[in-house]
Amino acid sequence: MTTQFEHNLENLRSKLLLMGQLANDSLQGAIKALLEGDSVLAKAVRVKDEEIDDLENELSEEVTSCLSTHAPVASDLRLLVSIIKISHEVERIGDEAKAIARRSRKTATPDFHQIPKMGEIAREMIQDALSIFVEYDEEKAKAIWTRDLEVDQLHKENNQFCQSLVEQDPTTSSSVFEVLFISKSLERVCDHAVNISKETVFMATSRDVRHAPEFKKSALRKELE
Amino acid sequence: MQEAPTANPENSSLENTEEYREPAIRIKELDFLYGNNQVIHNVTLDIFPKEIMAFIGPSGCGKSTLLRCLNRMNDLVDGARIGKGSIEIHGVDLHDKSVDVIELRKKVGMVFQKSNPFPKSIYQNVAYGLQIQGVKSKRTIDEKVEESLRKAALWEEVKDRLNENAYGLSGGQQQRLCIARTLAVEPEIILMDEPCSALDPVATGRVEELILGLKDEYTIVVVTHNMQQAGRISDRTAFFYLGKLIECDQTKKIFLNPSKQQTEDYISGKFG
Repeated sequence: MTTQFEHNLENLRSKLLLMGQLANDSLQGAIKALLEGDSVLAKAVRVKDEEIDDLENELSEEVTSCLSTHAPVASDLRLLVSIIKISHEVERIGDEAKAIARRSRKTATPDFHQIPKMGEIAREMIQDALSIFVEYDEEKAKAIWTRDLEVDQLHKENNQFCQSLVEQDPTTSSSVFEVLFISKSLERVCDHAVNISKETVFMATSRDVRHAPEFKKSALRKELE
Repeated sequence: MQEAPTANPENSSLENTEEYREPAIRIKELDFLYGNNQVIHNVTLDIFPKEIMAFIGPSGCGKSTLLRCLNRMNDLVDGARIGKGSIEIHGVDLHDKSVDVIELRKKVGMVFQKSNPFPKSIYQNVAYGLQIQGVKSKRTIDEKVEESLRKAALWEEVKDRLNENAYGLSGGQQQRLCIARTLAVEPEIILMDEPCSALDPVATGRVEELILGLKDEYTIVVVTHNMQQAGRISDRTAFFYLGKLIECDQTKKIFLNPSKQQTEDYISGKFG
């Protein structure tokens, strides 16, 4: 028989996944709005962010209630702590999507260089991070951290690309800077996906790998080399 | 019913780690029976000096029986006996013929679930143990009474009414008085059998603070049904089920990520 507490935990899990899916949809909407110059879609993304914020508030309230009334321990405690932390990361993804949507109106450049590729990787990384929350897979988590290095490289390439555009035609700088900010937003989104997957490792195993030296970017780069 | 696994010796002893210390209490392969009813099965566990060890587990799992074995309180129960194994305190087998049970119970004091002050004054409750030990000096007894009441965090509340009947104290104060009474005879180990189960949250908080304060000087073993209490006060926690030690580990580990599913299910309230 499922207890009320177990039922509550299941609802919280579902709500977090819904929130994650909304944030990922928002991000994809923002990128589509950017690439297609779709201002209606950009506005819809900004509105959707409120829905994501509301879900974060609901999760925060419900987790607090669970903690105070059930005093959970072990895997239940780790799940609740992780839900709070992951929901914050997801909320930040929503914020970055909103920022991209806002900036999409200010860019007039025809070439977004690595932005579409970064957007696609970000989508996959968020999806993978959410999937290991549902079904834990440490190898998949590590693949997300390695994938983040690829995104960093693409952001670096965008940086160089934008620099060369400004050097060629300084009058485009304002629009080009928007692209650079968007690239930075996507790079941050992928960092949030990494954080989600690291929280998931804690949730599943109680190991805190957030600052583990072997999983820092420098160590992962060295390993790849 | 799922068979309870035997205790993992790596978890119940620190012998294989760099932190190895001589245990204050060493329980080795202990079987304990009431008549033909075996209630403790092959328990091996080390308890180290100046640590707080919590025993947890559902009712009837043998935790209180094991606690009472540690100062031979079970000697008073008809048919209670050790089947096999031993309990040693600093290397001395408790059931060795040379062991004086009265001396043992001085060294290994006990605080019970329900506070049980004597129907005497507050002062007399603490002084009693000293007096039956033959301490005659009024000054020595006065000093010891004050010291014990201070250690039990009760002195400030009772210093002006030491001659009043102990029954006039609140439940929480009575329990701290019983702790003071235990401390007066200078034990090395204190056993506590659900010491807060009859107390309100404020009194429970005071007793818990007191237990934490005593840790610097005493080895403490506490049986509790309150998981949060075990989490708050103990250094290590041992989980028992059906008379078997299922898991013993650092309390933080037990409550964050226990090794055994049975432990997780019990502390999460899924059974018991």
